[in-house]
Amino acid sequence: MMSFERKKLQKSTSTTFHVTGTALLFISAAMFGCAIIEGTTGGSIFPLLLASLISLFFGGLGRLGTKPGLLGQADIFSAVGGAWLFVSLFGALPYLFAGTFNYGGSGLLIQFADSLFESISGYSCTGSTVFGSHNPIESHGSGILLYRQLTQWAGGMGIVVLVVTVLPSLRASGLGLMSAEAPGPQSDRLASRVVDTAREFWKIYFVLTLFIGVALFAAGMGGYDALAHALTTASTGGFSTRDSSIGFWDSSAIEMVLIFGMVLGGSSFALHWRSTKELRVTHFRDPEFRSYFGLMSISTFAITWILASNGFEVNEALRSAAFNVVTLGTSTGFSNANGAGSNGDFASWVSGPQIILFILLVFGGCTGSTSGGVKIFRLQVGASHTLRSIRRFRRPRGVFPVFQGTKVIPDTLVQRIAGFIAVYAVLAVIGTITLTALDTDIVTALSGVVSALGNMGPALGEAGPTSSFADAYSAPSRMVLAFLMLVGRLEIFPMLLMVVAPYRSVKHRSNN
Amino acid sequence: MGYKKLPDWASWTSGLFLGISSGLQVVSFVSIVSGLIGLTGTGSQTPELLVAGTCLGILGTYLFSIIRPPEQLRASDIFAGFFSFAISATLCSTLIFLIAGVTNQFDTALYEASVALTTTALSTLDISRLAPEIEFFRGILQWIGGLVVLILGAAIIPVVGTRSNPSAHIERNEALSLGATRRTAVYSILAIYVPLSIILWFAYSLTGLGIFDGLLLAVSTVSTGGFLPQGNPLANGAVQWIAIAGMCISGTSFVVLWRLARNKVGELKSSLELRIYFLVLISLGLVLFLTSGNYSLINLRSSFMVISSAVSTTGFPAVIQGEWLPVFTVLILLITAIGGMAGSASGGFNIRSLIILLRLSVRELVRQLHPRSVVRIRIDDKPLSESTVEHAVVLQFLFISVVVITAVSSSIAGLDLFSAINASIHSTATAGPIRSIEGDLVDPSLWTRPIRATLIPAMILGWLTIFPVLIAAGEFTSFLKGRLKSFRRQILMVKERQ
Repeated sequence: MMSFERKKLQKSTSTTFHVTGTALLFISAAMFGCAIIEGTTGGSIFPLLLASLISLFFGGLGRLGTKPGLLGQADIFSAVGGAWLFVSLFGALPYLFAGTFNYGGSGLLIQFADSLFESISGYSCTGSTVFGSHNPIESHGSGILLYRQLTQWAGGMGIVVLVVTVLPSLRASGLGLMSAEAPGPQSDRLASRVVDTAREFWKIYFVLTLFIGVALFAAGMGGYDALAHALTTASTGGFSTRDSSIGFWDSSAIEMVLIFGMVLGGSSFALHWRSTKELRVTHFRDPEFRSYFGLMSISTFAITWILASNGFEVNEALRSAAFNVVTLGTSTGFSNANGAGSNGDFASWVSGPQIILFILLVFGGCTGSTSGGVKIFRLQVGASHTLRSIRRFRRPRGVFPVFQGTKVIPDTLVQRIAGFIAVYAVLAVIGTITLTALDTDIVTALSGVVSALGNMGPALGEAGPTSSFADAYSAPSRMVLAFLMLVGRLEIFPMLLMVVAPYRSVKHRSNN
Repeated sequence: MGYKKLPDWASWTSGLFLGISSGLQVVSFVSIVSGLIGLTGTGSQTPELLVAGTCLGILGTYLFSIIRPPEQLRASDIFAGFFSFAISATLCSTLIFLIAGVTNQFDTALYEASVALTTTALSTLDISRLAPEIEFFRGILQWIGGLVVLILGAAIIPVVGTRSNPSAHIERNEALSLGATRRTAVYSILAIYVPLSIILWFAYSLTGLGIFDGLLLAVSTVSTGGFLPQGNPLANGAVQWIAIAGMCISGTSFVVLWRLARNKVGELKSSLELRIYFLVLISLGLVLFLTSGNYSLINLRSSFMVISSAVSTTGFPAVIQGEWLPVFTVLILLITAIGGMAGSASGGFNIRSLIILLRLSVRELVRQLHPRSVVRIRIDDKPLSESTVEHAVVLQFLFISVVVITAVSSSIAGLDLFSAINASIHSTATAGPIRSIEGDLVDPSLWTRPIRATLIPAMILGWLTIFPVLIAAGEFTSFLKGRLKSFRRQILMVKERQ
């Protein structure tokens, strides 16, 4: 007779592999599609096809050899963390096989590290890249570049959310998995069934991507570039098919479309869903969206004013300020700089705007969006919590609830948010100390860590919008940043706690 | 009677004006004593100090005489008093600096007064040109500034808000109490602060430093101020060792010192905060020494000087010989932001708050795995109330907010990115001197006047541990709202009559 405990452990391990396997099948399909594109545009289909077959094999093994079941909290973290880790590892294979980072005699270890960095940066929607002047993006094939864009699109809404859409058998565990992956302290439920909620989210995401793609095409981008950038705009990822990113086109129309797309990508998808159901814009009813929009507007005007008083023409200042505020405020990370020292290169601006942009790096977008960062909701609750604390000092016997808009936030959630911010701050400090110990200067280290944790993309100092992370950080530093990107994308806990369930399993087996 | 002319004063406004009159009287007293000290030498600035001091004293005494003392002080009254004391003392000191001709620019005088009172070692004055009476005036201002930090941190803030919370009340009694009442707690602080200053004065004098310089250095050490007398006394090794010991003591909680003085050593052995404080001091000092590559005794001393100066937020200048790793710039910034122990004269958000933050992080990880679990944060095996945890978290949130706002304003005023972050952390933690990435000391006199002006609010906020200022501001807003409401009511009544 198999004991109940052992059965439970087997089931949880089984579900982890089932979820990971299904996720690998999805990326295998993406690789296969990109291999065909690579082949039709005159490139070699071998790297993408091989990576696709390997992912298919292991994905199939995971999917067919296991059965999903109900999961505990530790198993959920293990499943989500495991899925992301394996997807990132297998996602690095196309770069490795194609020799994408085989430049200037870089060894296999460095090539693997760079491939993994690019893969993690892609899936986590960070947008930091090791491409650069030493290894221009444009020198690579259309298929591999589209795959790079697709990694961000898949990571934007979430690989696990994608998996949940095809796994109705997960039932209640599906919601736990989605919550563990979703950005923000609470996840919205759009339909009574978890699978339907996941499908609704993907539908909105797909329509948004399509809409941005068409708008970019209409604004003057080519079809391929429009599709590629739509994928990374809706996902607030920030990868581009050009070395100088959006600065390549130097077009106000394209930048305006992207600003609009990024703002939508950085706001809650539940709000988009509600707007489509009610057929009118309901976003401004939400206090988080109002703060998000207000914060970006104020930052834009402040930076415009500072830049204009430092020699920029007002219209150029406004254009550069608006684009960079939105791209960093939504954690996208596009750049409209066409060369170091150009108007859009915020690393060459005076320090005032840079600090404002740094604050935006920390804040991030809205809960339930594709953006990273601490999230506006948490900061609103943090600010309300601070006000309550001051009021309590003045009136020790008073009862002061924490509000977000007119909604009362329960104390348990307030404590969870305080705990999250505490863990976030501790990680940022440890990361900065580690990077400076690895010989990175303090501004580049601090901004790099915050950028990685918030899945932003560019940083400040030597890692500005026109720089490559390969030049700004050493290989060990890049690995630290890659880890922080995954930690940040999954909102810290799944990555830190993913080993708990396997540890318990091993401990249980060794005890028996 | 004077106060009859000013009827219906709320207890809050009484607190406010008590603070103002105290500020006037304290600065007046220091100014007169400084003027008299000047008489022992050339006394070039004695007349100005005596005249200005006397005028301020008369004004302060008059104001004190017309205030109707409140029957019971509320938390907001006390904080309003501290805030108005800070503002009036700063403005009066500014006036003294201007009258004594230390500078002829108001903003520079205001900056120097803030630097002195807030115990921030970021002075721009050339001390070799200062008259002894002005040196004394600045030194005593620092001493008073340190005393204010202690009274607020060890006698007032831990007590406020605990009356309705029994568990917080117990924590207050067990962890931070220096006496049964605020008054006895203040007496306990003075019973340590004054003798400690005298012992350090005596110790410095024994090294051959001279009575006057020894006194200045002693008040600067005990208050974690960081001003130095003329002639670079820290070049003397014995003086440096005394300064290191003095800074370590000043960064220690006065509750710990109080228990030591009462021979209650047993309770201190289990103090996690005390252990972390000394662990940071010793381990970072040794690591700095070992990574410098220069293994001389002088460099060992300098390493401990750098670390103790940063941890206690004193700001005595010290430079190590040898290699300075960039990671030390980050570590120094970090330990400066944290500061010393809770209830000490040092700035920063203190080690106790850091322990709570780290325990909160661990609790959150546990809660992620067991969402319904009830996990209490403990320090020294004693569970903390949620209000204490909330207080520590909010203090750090406010500290970071002040740092960010100051960094934005100073960068707009012209500081580069790193210097802006560096200067704002040091100002909010009331520490100095600022170091470049290479470890060299930065001279604040090279900053422009607008840059220095942006640092003043952060220094004052950091000095008063932020909370009191916000509470005073909140109360002021309520007061204004109340007045506005009654004004509107009166207008309505007039309209109705018409």
